[in-house]
Amino acid sequence: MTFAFSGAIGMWHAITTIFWKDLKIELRTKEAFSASFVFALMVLVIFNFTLNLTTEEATAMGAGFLWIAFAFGGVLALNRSFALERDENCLQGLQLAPIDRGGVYLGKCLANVVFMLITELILLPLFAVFFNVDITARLGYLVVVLVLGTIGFSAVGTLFSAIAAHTRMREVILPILLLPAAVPVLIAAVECTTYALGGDASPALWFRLLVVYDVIFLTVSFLTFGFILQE
Amino acid sequence: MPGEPGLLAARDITKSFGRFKALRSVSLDLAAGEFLTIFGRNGAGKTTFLKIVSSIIRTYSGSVILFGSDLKRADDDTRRRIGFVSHESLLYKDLSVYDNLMFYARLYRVQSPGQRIAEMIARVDLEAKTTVPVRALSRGMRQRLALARAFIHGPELLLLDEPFTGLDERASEILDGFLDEFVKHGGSVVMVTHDIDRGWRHAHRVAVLDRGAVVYETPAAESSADAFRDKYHEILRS
Repeated sequence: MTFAFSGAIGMWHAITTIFWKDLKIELRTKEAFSASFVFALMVLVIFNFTLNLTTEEATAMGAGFLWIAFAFGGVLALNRSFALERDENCLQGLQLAPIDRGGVYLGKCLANVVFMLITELILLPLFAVFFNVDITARLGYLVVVLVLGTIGFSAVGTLFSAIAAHTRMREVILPILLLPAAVPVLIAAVECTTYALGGDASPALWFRLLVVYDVIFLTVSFLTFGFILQE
Repeated sequence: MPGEPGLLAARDITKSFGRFKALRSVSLDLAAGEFLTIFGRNGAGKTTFLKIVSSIIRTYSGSVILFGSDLKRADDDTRRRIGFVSHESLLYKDLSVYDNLMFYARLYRVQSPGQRIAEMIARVDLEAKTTVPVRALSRGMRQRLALARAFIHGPELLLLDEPFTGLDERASEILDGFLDEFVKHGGSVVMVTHDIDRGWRHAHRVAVLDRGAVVYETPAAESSADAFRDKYHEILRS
């Protein structure tokens, strides 16, 4: 019991230490935010000006555009996540540290979730303006879906970002690995977001898929991260 | 004193990367308070050996007993007792000098980290650069900061992978000072290098790794730098 408790304290310590380090670097450089925000914004602007949708069409299809923008922007932020560990071989510093490697994963994942959510929360009102969509119809539900979708995307993205960091073509490898694996969470998030924007079809099944995907990928990634970090 | 029972006992370590055998049945011991220098050409397996001892590499055959426990089952406390210095600084360029040390102090759960950081910054002569991001430091300053990083948690065993590579005169002096003091206070060191002068200076015992195997081992007191240099070149020619 005591062992489990001290293990949990140690894990929490590892997660917060990694998280604060990534947050501090991001606050100083703003590289992940600026890259993902500008890219995601451009995706929304292009969709808006090329498709010229009515409000009804935008309500029905807007969720898809929104998650395409989030996903592409998110890939850039995730690429950055382990790029900063490659400089000066900082990854070795984490490998040497007396902390659970699962804690390193959860700390990095938490940082990625927070960075992506900040970008998404800034983009959301812009999306409403561009597409003339009411995002307040089911706002609480929309926020929950954004959080769950982002956790799922980051859970698998953080894992693949670590894998890609060991390869030569890392910037190319990440989207090739990540986007197919993230298809279930993206589809579920789009369906749930469509409902949150005023759609009629009940997304209960998709919502459950979102939750299950998050749990499975967080668990599997947490358990396998030690092997991936190994040389 | 050197020669006391084993702090580190590596037995029959074999490690392959695909078809390439980096280490072949390597057995080496290190007593508490001992300074072991391992020489060898590039690709001899020196760094692989250090990575196994530091538990960066965890899949290998053979056994490593470190601080009395099997390294494959070692807990966080075992790793907390190890310090590692390589020619790469392991520092985050976008964090300041202070923030880098604070990050590592937190990772290693250093008591009173603020006080320890101030002490280490003073020892490596970087007081004027505390808030400066690492990317704005010179190469020599970065290496001094890397030393502070490696010593921040007060390790008992120090692993050095070509630590003098790229060091300026000042940083080399500081590293020599650190090592002298570390060994004087009972610390144990494994250093890998191909710089005979630097490697011999502190060593109690030397070994030569060649093509993944230990081909020569002797107490430093039973030889001299010049005699060893001849022997080493003879090994490299063979």
